[in-house]
Amino acid sequence: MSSYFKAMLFIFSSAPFYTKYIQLPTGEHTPAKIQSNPKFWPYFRNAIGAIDGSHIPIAPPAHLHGQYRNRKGFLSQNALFICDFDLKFTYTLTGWEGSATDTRVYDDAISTDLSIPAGKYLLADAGYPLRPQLLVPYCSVRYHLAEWGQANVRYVYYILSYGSIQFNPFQATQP
Amino acid sequence: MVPYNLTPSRPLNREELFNLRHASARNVIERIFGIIKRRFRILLLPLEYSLEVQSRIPASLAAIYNFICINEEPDPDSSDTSNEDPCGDEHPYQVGSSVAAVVADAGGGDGGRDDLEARTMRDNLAQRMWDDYQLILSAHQDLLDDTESELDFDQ
Repeated sequence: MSSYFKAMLFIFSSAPFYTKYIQLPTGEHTPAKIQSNPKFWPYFRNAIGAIDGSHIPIAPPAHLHGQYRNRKGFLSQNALFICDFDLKFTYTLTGWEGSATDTRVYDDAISTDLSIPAGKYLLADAGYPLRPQLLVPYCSVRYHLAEWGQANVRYVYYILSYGSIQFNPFQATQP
Repeated sequence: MVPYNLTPSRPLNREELFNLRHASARNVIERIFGIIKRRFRILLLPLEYSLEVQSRIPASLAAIYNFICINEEPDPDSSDTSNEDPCGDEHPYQVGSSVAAVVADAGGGDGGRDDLEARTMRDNLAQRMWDDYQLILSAHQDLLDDTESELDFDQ
């Protein structure tokens, strides 16, 4: 049973199966999800996907526990994934120790087999460095906003000053 | 009676607007993680195989996931597009014609000035986004005025 499991696992994670179903986009076609949404088009027209790391539990031998323990406290591998806007994986790099940062895993990927077409980039979160191939958000910026949300912030102050029990930290901290 | 109003506030500068849309476009990776972790429970519990075997499990499942996507009918998990959209609005609007120029900003290239180049590209992109957003907002000003006077009346 176990040997069949391993045999199948190696088939799925090697060529030709793996390389047939997981391929980085060439960047020739703009993703429909980007092109059809005026919030994204044309700003993100050179985005070919999104990148993130995921901590997946792992059971290493005892002497490696230190390396595999992540900052959340459990033993994991830091697996790097890239997906496109149609919800398909386009790249994986698995097996890095849980203590490795997302940036370190990315640097390993980009120095080996991860190639991003010239002029294209991936959307990454703030755990990644700002690079021409990675578009990351600005740091220290408010979140939980909405484009058509509350425009008149003073209105909220007005309510608060009249002793309402409601408290919205995002609006209340406005200057 | 005070209205219980938890409407999120609007982005006040280009950085906030950029982050909002960036998060919205980036949420595909959060969704795909949610899907494979729900579908393949093996990802949640470590198996005592060798490290090489264990490291191949997520890669295999990613390939299998793609295989299923390509060869089957749309999956109910992934077709659930009613997920939370951080932009949180459904207002259709037209983009001004001025936006076409932004694409020139996104040049590739590498060298010692990578950081500066990436920063400049992001700033240009955010600025263009913000300028267009202002145009759209002012076009909808009438609608917004109506909404606000309604709120005042409630109070």
